[in-house]
Amino acid sequence: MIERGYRGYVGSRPVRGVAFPQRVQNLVVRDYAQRRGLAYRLSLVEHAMPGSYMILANLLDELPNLDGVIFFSAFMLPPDVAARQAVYDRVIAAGASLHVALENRCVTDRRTCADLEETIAVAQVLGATPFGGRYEKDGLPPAVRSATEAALLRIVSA
Amino acid sequence: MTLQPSTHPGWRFASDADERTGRDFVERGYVIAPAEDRAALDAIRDLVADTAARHLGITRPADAGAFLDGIAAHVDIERLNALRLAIIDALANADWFRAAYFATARKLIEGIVGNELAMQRSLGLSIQLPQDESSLLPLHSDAWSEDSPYEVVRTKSMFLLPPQADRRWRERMAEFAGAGVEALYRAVEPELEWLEVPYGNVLVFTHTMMHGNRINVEPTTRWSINIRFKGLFTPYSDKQLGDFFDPIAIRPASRVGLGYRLPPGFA
Repeated sequence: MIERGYRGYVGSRPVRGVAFPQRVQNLVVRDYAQRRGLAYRLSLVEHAMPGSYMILANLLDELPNLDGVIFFSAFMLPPDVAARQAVYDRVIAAGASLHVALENRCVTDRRTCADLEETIAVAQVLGATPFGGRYEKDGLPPAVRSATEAALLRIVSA
Repeated sequence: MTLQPSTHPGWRFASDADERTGRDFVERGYVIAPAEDRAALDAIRDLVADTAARHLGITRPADAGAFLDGIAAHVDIERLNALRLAIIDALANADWFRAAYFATARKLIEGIVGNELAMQRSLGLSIQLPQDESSLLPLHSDAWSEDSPYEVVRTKSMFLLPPQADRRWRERMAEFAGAGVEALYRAVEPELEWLEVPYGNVLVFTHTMMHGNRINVEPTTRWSINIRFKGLFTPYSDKQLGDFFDPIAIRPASRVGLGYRLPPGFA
């Protein structure tokens, strides 16, 4: 059997509010592949422009020549449920698998797809729950997230 | 006719049992209760014992409890971590394990945390051989690192600093900035509560309280499996939904809400 390999997919935009350097994303993807014994193929890098999934579209076109894809995180999937479903459909139709390294899980069929969707759906509404679904340990309001904003707020508050 | 306070039958939102458990939890920081599903607990213990025997290349004695209590006769400290990892692997790969673990304290956790729940995806396993200095857990609170304070832990700690004392020492903690955690431990030691959790019982506690393990001075090995639970829709810290936690109970009304979209086309 020909080993076609698993293409990595990393990004240039923050994932759940955290900007992971691409070098770190690649480390996580490579480590995941190694632990699962998957043949890793060099990662593609998604654009920084918000809402662009052009590289993901290329990746999906490449699926017939791959065993699967390894995303750095499940939260790099499109925020829209229908768009995500289209990704799962393409992966399943190609007989491939979609791995998400940070969350250490994979989608291979409808059941694993539904499990991942459940987690993403809940995570997406956490912003609308008390405290924005986030417990911040620096004592700053949830809206203040960058180090610069935090420093400015401390100066103003002093 | 309006019922008068003196004549109504005393309707309340929480049952007596829930109120009692809740009061205990807030005042003491933990609850120890008999396992709600003993068969589930026994199945987990059997899997642990079977895996340990297989890993060590010995025949598992009929009495799984006595075997695990006396595991120090079969493994030394150098090989202990390999055994621990083999058992974690076996539990993680048993597709029934997480549900069985939850079943041993379902009502207790629902009463303390809520009925829409997230559960830690991995598990922690502590095996403390008698006099073993290699498996210690220094004094800490999980809320000081990556966890939110909106979580509980099922089993883990040997000692706890009760809530009132915890609040008092937390206020003074900066005094130990230069001296370190062991100095803090020595300061709080007289106020620590040492927990007795015999087999057949579960411990649920808030990991916001200072807690940890010391050397096991009992003659038998101390085993505990720890997994965190939290309200699904409560704030998360760095241990997030998706990578660290997974939903295990989403109620139908929430499912409807999650899938609902307002009529489109008005923008």
